[in-house]
Amino acid sequence: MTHSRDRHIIRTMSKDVEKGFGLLMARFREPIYWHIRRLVVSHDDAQDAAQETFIRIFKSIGQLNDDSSLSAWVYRIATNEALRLLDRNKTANLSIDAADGESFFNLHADEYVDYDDAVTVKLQQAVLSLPTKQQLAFNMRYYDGLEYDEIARILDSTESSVKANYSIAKQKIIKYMNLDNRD
Amino acid sequence: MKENFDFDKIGRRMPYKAPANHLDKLQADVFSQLGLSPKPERSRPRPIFRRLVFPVTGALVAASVAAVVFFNAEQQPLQKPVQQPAPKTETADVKIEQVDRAFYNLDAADREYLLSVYQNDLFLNEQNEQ
Repeated sequence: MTHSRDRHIIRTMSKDVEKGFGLLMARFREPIYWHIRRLVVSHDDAQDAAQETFIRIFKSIGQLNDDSSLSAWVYRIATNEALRLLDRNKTANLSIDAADGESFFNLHADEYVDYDDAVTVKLQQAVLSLPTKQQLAFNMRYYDGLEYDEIARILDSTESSVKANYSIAKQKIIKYMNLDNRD
Repeated sequence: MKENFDFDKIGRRMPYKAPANHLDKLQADVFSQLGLSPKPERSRPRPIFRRLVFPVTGALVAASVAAVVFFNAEQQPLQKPVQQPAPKTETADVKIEQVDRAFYNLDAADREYLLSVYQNDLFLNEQNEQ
């Protein structure tokens, strides 16, 4: 269903770019915003990076063909845009293994975060503290529900590597959340 | 014994929130930056029309079918089970005129929406091609 919808978008874009791009935005604007948001945390940053993502997509639409995985291509551009933004912001990347107790979220106070929902805040802290590859594998599998092979295409990696990263990420998160439970 | 963290208890819930209509703003900003024309308002039919379009269309189609069946039945003599000639198009033409009239009684935006729905309906288009 999703693949046929994506093929329809690609075909429409080849005939009428503007109409096809409208369909593409309707299909991806929400998942892409949230994919970026989970990586960059701040709403404003996510909005900027999502905007830049769709502009890049429009400008490179010619690279798409019927055989392309539209979803993987869009996610790849969005992921690169989010990582570029993080790099620009020189975000501190704490490691779970070396966590010093300082909340990652404290570095990113945002009015669009519900700090009262303590358990989800802690889960995001755990996810954000993971190395980038594990974080991406976890987010795209757990939140976006993407298949391992699609995540591998997005990250230019292998399915087994993605599975390993996801598994390690889950173990680290469980460990982190259980440690917090003892507090 | 220490309880293990259970992902199922949280699911996909996140602490993040976003302002209302931020995705519409995102789309408008992207279209503006690219110099594309924003989506026309007609692409979002008024809710009342959206609620009515399918029931009204369905009722018109049902009425047309019922009328065709009724007139055909009336034209068929009971004592003559002979093959009838092909149904006259007159009745169908009258019904089509009624549908046309109903269609043109709609305002321009609604007509455009209805047309776009039918033009983009792959199933209908496939049937017409056959």
